[in-house]
Amino acid sequence: MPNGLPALHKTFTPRNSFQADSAEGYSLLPFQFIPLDGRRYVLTNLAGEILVVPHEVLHQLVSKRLPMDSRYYFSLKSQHFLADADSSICLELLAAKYRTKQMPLSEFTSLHIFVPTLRCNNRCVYCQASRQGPTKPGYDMKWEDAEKAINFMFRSPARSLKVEFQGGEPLLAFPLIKQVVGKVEEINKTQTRNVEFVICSNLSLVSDEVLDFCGNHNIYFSTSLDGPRALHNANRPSSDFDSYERAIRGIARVQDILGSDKVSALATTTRTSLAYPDEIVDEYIRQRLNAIFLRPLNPYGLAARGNKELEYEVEEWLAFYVQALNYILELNYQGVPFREQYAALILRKMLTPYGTGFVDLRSPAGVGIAVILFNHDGGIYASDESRMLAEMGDERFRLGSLSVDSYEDVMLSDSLISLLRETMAEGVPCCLDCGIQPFCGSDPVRHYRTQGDPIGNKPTSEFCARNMGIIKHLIQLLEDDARASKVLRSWI
Amino acid sequence: MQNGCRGFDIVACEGEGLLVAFDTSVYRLTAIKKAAHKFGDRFHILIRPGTDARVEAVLKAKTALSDPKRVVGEFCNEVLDQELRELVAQETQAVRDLILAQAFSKTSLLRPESEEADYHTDPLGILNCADRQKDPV
Repeated sequence: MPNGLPALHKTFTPRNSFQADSAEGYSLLPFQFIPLDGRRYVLTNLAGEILVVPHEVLHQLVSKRLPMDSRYYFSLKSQHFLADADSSICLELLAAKYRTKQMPLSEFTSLHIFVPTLRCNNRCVYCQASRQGPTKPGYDMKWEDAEKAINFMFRSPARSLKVEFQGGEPLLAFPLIKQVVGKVEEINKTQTRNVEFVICSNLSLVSDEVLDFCGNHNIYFSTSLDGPRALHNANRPSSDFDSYERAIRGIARVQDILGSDKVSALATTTRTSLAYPDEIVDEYIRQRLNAIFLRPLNPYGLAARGNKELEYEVEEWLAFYVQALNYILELNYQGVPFREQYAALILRKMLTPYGTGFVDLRSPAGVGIAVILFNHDGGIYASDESRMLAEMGDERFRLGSLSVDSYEDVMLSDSLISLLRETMAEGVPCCLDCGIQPFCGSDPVRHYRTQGDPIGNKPTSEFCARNMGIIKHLIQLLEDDARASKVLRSWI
Repeated sequence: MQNGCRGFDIVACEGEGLLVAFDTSVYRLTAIKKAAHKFGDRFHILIRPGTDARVEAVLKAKTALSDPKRVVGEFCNEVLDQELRELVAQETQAVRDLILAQAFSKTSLLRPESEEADYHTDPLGILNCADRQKDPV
């Protein structure tokens, strides 16, 4: 018996029946690859299968010199990178897995962003939305437009609809929010969709009335917490109040009265933030939050390129992100469960059979078909970033107007269809051959803003460099660090 | 400067640029073009016909490089990666199209006979497969 192993019971198929017939060889199945480091490659395929192999194994595989009894051969075969004589159903399996990954496409538009007002009581140094003063007239959504937006939303075939109120500070237009929620619930009595409401707020105006209403209507809050008091107030000042104090008091009230799952937060990174990755995470732990979304600056509004006091190179942000992630992992090792949400989104794409609804991690991009935005002035936009660009005077991603355009006008418009066509990563230079393409996505608005072209030039793209850095780092952790891998796998 | 490896030579300096000559019997033009596109962040690159079935890539650094030969070596590795990608794509293009078509088809394109088959006739040979397993080698 080879290797001194015991004989298999006769009910088992003999070991050699699993051995491929070397006379017939093997054929390659479609896959992409990318160097992971100096000695290994990452191989991925249509179904999002992932395998890390040494440099020489890739060369052996492609040149058909890979020994059919090597351990890599069995992994490559079971994950559909190659097929041999007894791979009878691998094409059906690949097709089924690919279809499962693309399921979010069939669901169509789920996230509907309403901008009830552009007025805001914060004066964030990086304001990307081009906010207006808290009492300035002319920047609130009219009820007629809100009603049309609701009807537009219910034309979407999605089984799950998310209504997200953005701003400005949406609680400055709380009466309109109440009207929208009431109307959506009324229509949904017959539509019976899974409807979820989220208010994206600085939480400075969370009152008993607001909490009562949100509790009665199962409304979630998403807020910004940029770090400890000094950092938060430097990034998100207000002339009327202590912005940090209001934010943490608001978070605590929502947690205590509505439940700890009813509020989540994200941290926007300025140049000042880069020095405080651990302190930012500690602040989230202090406020009893169990996750953070680490967000780089988006190049719109005050954060548009050229603001030297705010911006940084993508390499600097990646160093910050890696340090914050390492610190989060350390906390987990010590028994503090805490997640980084962007990593969790990518890990879900990497480690589960499913795709994602996250707009920037889809191919084609989620503009219009995962998210659509109704602006305060009745304009319809392909995404939140699209209206941010519009507030800067560029209407490139405006899809129509609630007052004149029908659902069909908007969703079948040349501007949307061509945008989707241009963001199919499977056909974009550099992306089509890229080994991390199944886990990445496309951000046409950012590429248009920074490079003048929705497709973008990937070798000089910040979006590409950032996702490449994050995804390769996650793969290295999964491969090389068993303790980190265990924690990361728990985030999916 | 003269560095020779199988399939390519770094044969000369032209002003501030480096010239790499690729043997087109080893690397296809598409692979060289894709590698050039990928290195567009660091170099201005001109691709032109050379002598003796060679294609020349002239790489001119956009900013001063401390070790340009190392970066040119990386470029050659990238051309090799792109050549492998071309080989994989060439071998798998047809099956890739078939998988995508199958994924979005309402009927089975891979086994059309199974659409109207009768399981009594065992068109996929499942019974034979089970018989094989009862009879260990």
